[in-house]
Amino acid sequence: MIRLLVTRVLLGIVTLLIAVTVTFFVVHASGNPVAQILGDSATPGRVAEVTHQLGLDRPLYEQYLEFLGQLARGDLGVSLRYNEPNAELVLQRMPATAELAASALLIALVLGVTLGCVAAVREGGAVDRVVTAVSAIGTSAPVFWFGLMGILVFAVLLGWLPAGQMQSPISLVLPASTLSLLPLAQVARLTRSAMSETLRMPFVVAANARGLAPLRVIVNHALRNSAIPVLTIFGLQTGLLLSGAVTVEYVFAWPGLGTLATDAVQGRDFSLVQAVVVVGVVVFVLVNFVVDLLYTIIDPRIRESRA
Amino acid sequence: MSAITDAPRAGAAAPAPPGRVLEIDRLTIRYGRGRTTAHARPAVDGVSLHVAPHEIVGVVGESGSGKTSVAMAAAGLLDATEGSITANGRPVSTRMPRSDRANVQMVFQDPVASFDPRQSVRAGLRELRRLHGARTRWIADEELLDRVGLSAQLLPRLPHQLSGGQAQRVSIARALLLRPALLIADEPTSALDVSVQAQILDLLRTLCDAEGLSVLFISHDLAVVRELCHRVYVLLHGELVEQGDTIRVMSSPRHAYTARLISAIPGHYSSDPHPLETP
Amino acid sequence: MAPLLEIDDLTIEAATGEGPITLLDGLTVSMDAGQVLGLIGESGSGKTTTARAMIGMLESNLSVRRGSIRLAGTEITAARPRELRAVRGRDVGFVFQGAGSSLDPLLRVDHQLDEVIRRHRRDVDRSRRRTMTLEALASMGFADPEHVARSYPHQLSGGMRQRVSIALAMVVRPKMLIADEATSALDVTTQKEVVQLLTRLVAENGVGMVFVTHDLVLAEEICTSVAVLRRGRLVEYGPVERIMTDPQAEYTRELLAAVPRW
Repeated sequence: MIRLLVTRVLLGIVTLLIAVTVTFFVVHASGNPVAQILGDSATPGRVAEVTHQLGLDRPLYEQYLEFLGQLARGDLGVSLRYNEPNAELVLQRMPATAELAASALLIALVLGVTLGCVAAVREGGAVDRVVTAVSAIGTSAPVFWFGLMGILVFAVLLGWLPAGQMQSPISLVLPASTLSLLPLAQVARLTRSAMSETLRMPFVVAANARGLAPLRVIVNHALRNSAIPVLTIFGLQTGLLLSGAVTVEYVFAWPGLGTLATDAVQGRDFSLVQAVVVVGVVVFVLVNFVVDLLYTIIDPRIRESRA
Repeated sequence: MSAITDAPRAGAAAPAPPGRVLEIDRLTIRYGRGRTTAHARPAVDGVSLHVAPHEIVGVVGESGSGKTSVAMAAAGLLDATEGSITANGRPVSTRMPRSDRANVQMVFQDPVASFDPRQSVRAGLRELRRLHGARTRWIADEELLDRVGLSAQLLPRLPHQLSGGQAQRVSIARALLLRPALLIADEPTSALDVSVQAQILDLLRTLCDAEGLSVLFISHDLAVVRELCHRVYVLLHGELVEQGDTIRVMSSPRHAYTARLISAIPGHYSSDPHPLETP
Repeated sequence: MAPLLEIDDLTIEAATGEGPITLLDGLTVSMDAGQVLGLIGESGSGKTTTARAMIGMLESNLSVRRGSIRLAGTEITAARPRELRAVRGRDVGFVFQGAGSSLDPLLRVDHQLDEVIRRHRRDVDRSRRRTMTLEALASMGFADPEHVARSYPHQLSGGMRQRVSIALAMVVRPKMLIADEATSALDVTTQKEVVQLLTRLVAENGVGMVFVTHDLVLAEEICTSVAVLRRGRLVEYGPVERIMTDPQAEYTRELLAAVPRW
């Protein structure tokens, strides 16, 4: 168990390092942010002065090493644009995104597992066909399109739901559903395939031969044994979900990390972009670590091999 | 079915070996971590055995006996941790050259699983011919299938279009094409119906007589081994517990485990030397 | 008194793209409590189909064309799904092929036994269920039932798992047991232990058992009567001694000749 923890933490650090390194060089390759921060009226002299103040005229590797040094100390740096600690900016926006992402994941998990189960139990039935079709659409259509269609239909045409911005709990409905579509489709599809395989396993047939109630066989035996692949995809989905959140927040003017990231990229606020990436990666690594722990709880064989 | 007398070849004395088709000397195989240190109990522990020309030799054991590991190592599909294996005097290992590899061929319990599902019988043979060149030119496809009792009409068939017995014959034919000195058969009849099993055993016997093939026959089934093999080795937990002439081993086993195995053959329960032990 | 199991003219068809195929053709056999009926055949004989039909669990493309199965007073072919679920487990225990592949790998043995007792003995409380669980395991010859009860399937050997499967089939004391190639995947020495266990269970509890196997010689060790099937037809049926010593059907003679034995 300790070894698992250590390897997971090391793996998480490596993931983080790769992610921030890529981000660092990509944002720095996109040009000098100072001109944009100062606005059109700034003179070249002023731009050079601020560039020097911010240390952006130093060699790239020096900046990179300094950035890593800060990161190692847990310092996320100061925003170039707002001149405030990045950590604070991120913390302010975090709750909105957390609320959005958690709702989306919950919808995806509950609906996805239920639909996948029903589709597997009634293979070839109406639900199965709908689930197959919907998950094909859900995994192939872009998120922003869904968002716009949602606004068009439910906010503009029907007037049932607000089109965005955080006003009341109900304003969460459209963005959360939009964000949940991709993971919902994936979870439903995977649950269906894992379940239909498990339902054919000898122990499920045997459970039926012992006269157990069908619902009990499905939930207590088949679903439990199908949980591991579903959990795995669920953990990986959080990554996609975070990137989906950027789009969804933009479409719905949701004041979360996604909009913060979008603004930071547009304003070439390197430092803030990197801070958001760091937070995103940490969340991703943590969620997958939790998923990994869940394996151990579900499957005694995995538990033993790790003991 | 009268007893010992009509047990086909078991009583026949094995021909005196000028050379040995297979010689396994103090073979030890360890898996996984602790290969070098003595952590885990080895899967195979200091097993020595040999196969002489034209001989059918049985290796008998239950699950965990290491019999499949012995087979894999003898076929050069698995490396020995300690000890040596030679076939016709040439070392056997996973790195042996193709010409040597052709010399020891293996057939498995589930032949269909070892076939490419989209490759016809003919295409499978063609691939072997391409790989092994001149060595395979001695016989045409049709005649080869005839030797294993199959019609040439099966040539265009795909693996799933073959019955279990046909598939096993095809896998024997593929082995035969390479003119091996030794055929290693790992439970080749365990997945087959008894009537089909009898035919495959007949085939192996015929090939041994007619083609001069030697066979290392791996099985859990003492009754089959008794019917087919000249000599037998009994494995328990990776160790050799008994060896000898099949008839002698079956009629007067020297090791208690062999006796227990024999008494567990259906039809022999009442000959039980030890009453049922409660584990 | 009516026999425990009465199969009359049972005919089962499979729906295929090219129309129906008859898998079982007019099978008539019967069995009393305390007896062991062997259903013997090679692949495609219809023996497993017959066993599945007895608990109303045919594959979805199979159906009973005609005939009847009366099992402990219930007409299986006419029973509703709800009645069938009550019969399964309560009146008839089913043991499958494989070394315990009929156990849920994620659940402890006691959990799985408890689930079956709770289903079929609604009036029994938790502590009584625990006792029944341990008793069932003890009667399978486990020296330490507590330990087995706490184990997960993968922590047990193949033979132990198969004995747990039998415990699951026997725990609510059904009148009948169906063993479908229940020992075929086991090592010979383990197979012998399990066969002797089954023999003892039949003798001690007075249950009837249908023993499905491809191995005619194994059937001789355990069965009182034997039905030899070939391609869905009954080719020979009678007391086991008679069939082993004086087989009437050509096919039975071939089968006996093909089995290596001495």
